[in-house]
Amino acid sequence: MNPIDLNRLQDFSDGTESGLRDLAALLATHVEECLVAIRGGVAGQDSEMIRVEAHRGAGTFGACGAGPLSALLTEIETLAGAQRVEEASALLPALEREVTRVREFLAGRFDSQDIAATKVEQ
Amino acid sequence: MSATARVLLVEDDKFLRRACEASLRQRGFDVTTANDGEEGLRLARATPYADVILLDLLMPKLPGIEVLRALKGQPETENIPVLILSNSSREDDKQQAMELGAAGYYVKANLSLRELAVQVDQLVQRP
Repeated sequence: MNPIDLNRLQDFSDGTESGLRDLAALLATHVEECLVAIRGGVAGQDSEMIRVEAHRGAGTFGACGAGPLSALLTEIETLAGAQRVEEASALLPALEREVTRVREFLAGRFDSQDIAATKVEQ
Repeated sequence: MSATARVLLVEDDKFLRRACEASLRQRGFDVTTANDGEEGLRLARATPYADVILLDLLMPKLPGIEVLRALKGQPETENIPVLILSNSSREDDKQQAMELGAAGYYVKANLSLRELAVQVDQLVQRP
């Protein structure tokens, strides 16, 4: 299964190829930022921060067609909301893999150096 | 569309804020943004008033529904069309917003930037 449903991403976009490309670059940056924020929440054992960031990401990335990423974030949100930070933390490697998959998929589809360069340093 | 139509976008999600802002600017709108409810309400009350307001519901400091209630309760801002952007697809959330006077309600999971721009354009042109 592709990490992004391109039809949904296209529906979300403004309908132009340049708009779609800009959106893809923005999305690639944002998934990395979300990952960094959740990592920060895990490091600080801050369940509310994890929950809020996961909730926000799940909605946004779902709207852009990143279904598997959105589902994973929803799971993390639920665990964090139940104060089960350790279990939420255990999903971090899966989240990192999915973010990489999204970024690589976007970079491959849009052949953009901008997207390839979005990786945020840990 | 008036090239100078003003849109106030109140949204705490950075990605959506930037995506909506870029799309609306591309279509010639003058876009101002706020990333929480308090700032949104302050900007909405400032002149020149926005022609259309896009408003998230779940935001820090002041929820969007309270921003909407405040706007619709003041003569200076009650006629500004407000479009709601929400993660919630619950019918009662939508009903509450529409009863308070929202001009439209968009669930983010189904959002289309193109449709949103068309809707903003129609509201700006409405006499």
